[in-house]
Amino acid sequence: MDYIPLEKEERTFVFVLFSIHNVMKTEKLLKSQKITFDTIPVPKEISSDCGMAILVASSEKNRVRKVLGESGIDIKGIYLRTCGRYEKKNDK
Amino acid sequence: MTSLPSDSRIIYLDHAATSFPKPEGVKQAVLEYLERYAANPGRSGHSLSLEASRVLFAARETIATFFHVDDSRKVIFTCNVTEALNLAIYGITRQGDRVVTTSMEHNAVMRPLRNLEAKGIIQLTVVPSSPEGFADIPGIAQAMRSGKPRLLVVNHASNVTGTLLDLKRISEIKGSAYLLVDAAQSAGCVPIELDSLDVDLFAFTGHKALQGPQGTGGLIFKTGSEPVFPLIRGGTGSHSEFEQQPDFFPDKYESGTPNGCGVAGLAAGVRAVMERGVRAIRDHEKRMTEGLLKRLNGLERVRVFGPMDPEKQTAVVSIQVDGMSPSDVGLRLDRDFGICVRTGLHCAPAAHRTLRSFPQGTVRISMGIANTMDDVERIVEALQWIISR
Repeated sequence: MDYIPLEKEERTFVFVLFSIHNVMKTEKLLKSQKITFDTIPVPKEISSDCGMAILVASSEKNRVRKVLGESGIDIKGIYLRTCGRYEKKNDK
Repeated sequence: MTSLPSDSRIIYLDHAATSFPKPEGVKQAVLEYLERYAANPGRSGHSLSLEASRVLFAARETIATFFHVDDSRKVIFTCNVTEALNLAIYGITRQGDRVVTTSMEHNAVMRPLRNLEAKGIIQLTVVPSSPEGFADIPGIAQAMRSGKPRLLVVNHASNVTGTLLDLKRISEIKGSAYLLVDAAQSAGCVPIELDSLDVDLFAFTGHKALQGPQGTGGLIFKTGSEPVFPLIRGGTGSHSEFEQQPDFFPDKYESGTPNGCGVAGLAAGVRAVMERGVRAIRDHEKRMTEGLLKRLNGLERVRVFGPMDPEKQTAVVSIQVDGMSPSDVGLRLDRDFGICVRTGLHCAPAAHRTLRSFPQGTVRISMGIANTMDDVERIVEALQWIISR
């Protein structure tokens, strides 16, 4: 399996959702759309939640947003990850 | 010590209690879960935990598909139908509410309702069913018209006589009340499509006709906006920074580590039912019920309870043998013939009062997908032998 690189300089996006159920549903949707992603624990810098989040390459951010929007999956937050730091980009 | 008869195979006719044996895929799914990814689903964030979460998600989707539910989040896992019914009953009733039910309900419904009544929280109306176990539809309709009841609780099929209820008709007369259906005896052996029914809360068990392991079941919400308080609260793996229960499905109602291996087995059971087809299962069970009823009709001293019509019941047939206690008949069927049935009141004293079989109860013969007409012949021969001596 290919993983989304977590090297310092890579720009990636983390999608935080409201429940593990929605993370699982997102996995299913992204697989069907052939979008590469990783399911990762919610970074502690973002939240102390013990849930999971979806990590995608920056080039896929808009496609993922569209897929989630069309499927009615609410997004808790979208975060840009660069150099190991997280910056909130969009609420919805 | 009682030992199993060595010269003959066991004939299992107690599917209304628990189906047995389970389809091969159920055993495999439980084993695979335990061997390969029995980590904590939705909690720990590592690859095994994630794999366990995926099993739970896939199971929820399978069950949603099976019952025609659009959004699998509305399928809540519980450890059996009793827990699902308790969640619904305790969760939706409020001080001063009126609740209507029938006299054919199992104690999984009756005991929570009687408890709420004894505490002065609800006013309970129990509409008597007919001696065959049929719900009194006009009687229920009348009860629904007076005093604005909040909740109507009915079983889809009786666990004593298999008597079926027309869910379409019952949802037409529920008025503004919430309708809670106990589908313990019908889920998996009678076609149920929730998208064409107005059932607000639907409780099912996993270990009967859905072919799953014990310790599985669930409650399905129609819209998700039904005002049901959770029965228990605790860790959900979500919103961990808050000390309040999350308000979203399914986490709101599923606290604590779930029965992951059980749910994996339940999904495999439902898949087995879908592969065979629930309509084909229903037809198979109708044929066996018809054959059994016909043969029992020819036996002297045997009294059959219920509709005595395979179209109007599940593959559950209750009998009494004149001059013998049900427990004696059951013991002799088991000890001398290796036939497993259930005797007594079947946790449904109100139903037996309705059927006029209280307090001794009945011998309940209940068939499942693994049974054949040969099993029907065998129990009838055994009963003939027992009666003739």
